[in-house]
Amino acid sequence: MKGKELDKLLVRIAAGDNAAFEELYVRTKRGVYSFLYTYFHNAADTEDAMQSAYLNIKRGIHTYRPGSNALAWILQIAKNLALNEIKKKSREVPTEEIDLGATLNEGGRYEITDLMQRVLTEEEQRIVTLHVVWNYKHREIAEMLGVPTGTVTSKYKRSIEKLKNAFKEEP
Amino acid sequence: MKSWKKRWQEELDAAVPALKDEVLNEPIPTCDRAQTVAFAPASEPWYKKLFATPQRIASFAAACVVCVATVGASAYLFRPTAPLTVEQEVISVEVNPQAVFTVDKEGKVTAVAAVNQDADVVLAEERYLEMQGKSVQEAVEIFVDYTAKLGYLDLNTPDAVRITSCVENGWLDKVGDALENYFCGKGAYIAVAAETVGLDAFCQRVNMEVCDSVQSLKSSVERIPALTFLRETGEKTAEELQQIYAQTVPLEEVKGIFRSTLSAVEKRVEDYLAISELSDDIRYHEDNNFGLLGFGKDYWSILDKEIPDTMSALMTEMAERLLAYEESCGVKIDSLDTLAVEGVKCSASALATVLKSLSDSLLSTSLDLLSKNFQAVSVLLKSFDIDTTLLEELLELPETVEAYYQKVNEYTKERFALLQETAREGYEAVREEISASNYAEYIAGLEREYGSLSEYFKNL
Repeated sequence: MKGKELDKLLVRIAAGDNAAFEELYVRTKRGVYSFLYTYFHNAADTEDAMQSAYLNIKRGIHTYRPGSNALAWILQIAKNLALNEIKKKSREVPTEEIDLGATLNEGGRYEITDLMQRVLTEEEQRIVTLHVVWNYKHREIAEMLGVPTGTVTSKYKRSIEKLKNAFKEEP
Repeated sequence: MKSWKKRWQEELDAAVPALKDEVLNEPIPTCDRAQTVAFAPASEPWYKKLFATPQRIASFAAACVVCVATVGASAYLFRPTAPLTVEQEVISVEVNPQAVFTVDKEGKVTAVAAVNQDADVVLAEERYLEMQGKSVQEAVEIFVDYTAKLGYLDLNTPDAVRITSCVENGWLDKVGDALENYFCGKGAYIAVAAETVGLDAFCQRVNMEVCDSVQSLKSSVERIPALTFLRETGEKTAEELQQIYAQTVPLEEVKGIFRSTLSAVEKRVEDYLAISELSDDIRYHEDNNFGLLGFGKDYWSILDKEIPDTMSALMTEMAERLLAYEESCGVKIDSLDTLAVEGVKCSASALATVLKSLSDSLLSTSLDLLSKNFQAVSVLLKSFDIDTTLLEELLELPETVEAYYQKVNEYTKERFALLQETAREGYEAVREEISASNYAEYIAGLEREYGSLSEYFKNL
């Protein structure tokens, strides 16, 4: 989704348009989900965080400045939320083991989200997510992550190689 | 078989949950209500949470001890003032980068907006988000600290910043105290001129249209984009956008980068020609008889020979020039062959002349013309392995608003990095902390000399 369209949606939400909020969710949910997944590595926490992230977007809509980088604003909210949740969880005593292993879908193949988690580092997952799901350019990702563009390009290429090899090894 | 990207997208569609009703039905806050929501107390009574576990009770006791100590230490810095009752406030901070902060009744910053282009550099890359939601004291301190990191404010030289509010008995004094504390800690003799002015004067000071109330000014600031370059670019033609771009990215600055790039090429050609000439002088020197039948050999072939006194000065000069060339151009010339390869690149004594005449004419023109002719120059520069990416990006004129945003964003990012690097030494220089009494004495001296800190600020 283009930044300008997203900007318009956020402006409509700020004006109290709940339909715009629903549309925002439909159009950004894949990107936010896959981005949050790179922090939590499991569906249950990611799903909870999704609800909280969109709640924060709604509650904090007045802090969005029309015309600024709408995607970055949304991802910043998601990132802050993820880091806070992780910090909170690190203080809690775990009550049950969370299965971080890869899962098989009905066709007996690793689900891609879990496969990525298995073969890519956290940073590589984020780069692939931002590029493939959000359609960010390498240069923009570099800005977001605070690394040189060359690093993003090489890590992206390496990630794709790793994924291709992993696909070949699938049963 | 579907591509993995397609499969992934489908997988995500299936995995992502629907929004819960409580999220969907959560009312969208207006500005004022949003603040209430954001800073509302937790639903459970605080005392129940506080005494829920023995660890929390212990933490509470420890926090009490810290509080008692902190209250004592803060007594001077946060001198008692009348209770703050203002519902909203707008504060301007001028270091040279100037920004405006909107403040709610809790003293939290609800928005930050740049007033000038220097402030764009400070607040770009979403840095303004760092300040939103913080107490106004913290937010202003973060802003001023950035201006120091970028060298806009030199902590090693006496200077002043001005903070202005448009409401009486608001947060201005506390912001002033926090800044004074910051400067004392940094060992910087920088005065804080605090002024409260009428709404009209304030609006003029922050380049906003005159508003009829603080509430409407605050709302206006909250609505505008945080950075100046993101404003007033609505429905513009490509030509109009390019004009704005040329104003936003100072032409002289682009020319400066261009000039320094070209002078690097000119110097390289000049150095190469000197080395080449020296190589010939050595090779054809009358005492160079190291080759067959008494012919001369090149510099590199006779390095291990016993050099006649008549040639030693030339040999030493050659060694120095080669070393300097390697350091400045990153090219090691270590044989006659590499000299020849470098010569092909630089066969350009003629090329350098062309380049110079071309650049002279280009530099006297507009950014637009410079942009149109840059491709030709870029080819020449690349033949010298010179990275022209930054120049290319700056000189490629935007056709759309998105491209304009992206380019100015890149420019401010580059500028931030450049300024930070340039100012790093000054910012990190070791300075002795200034005691509160010494600082107060220094400020009193300024007030005696100038009549007021505002006058001192104006005189700088």
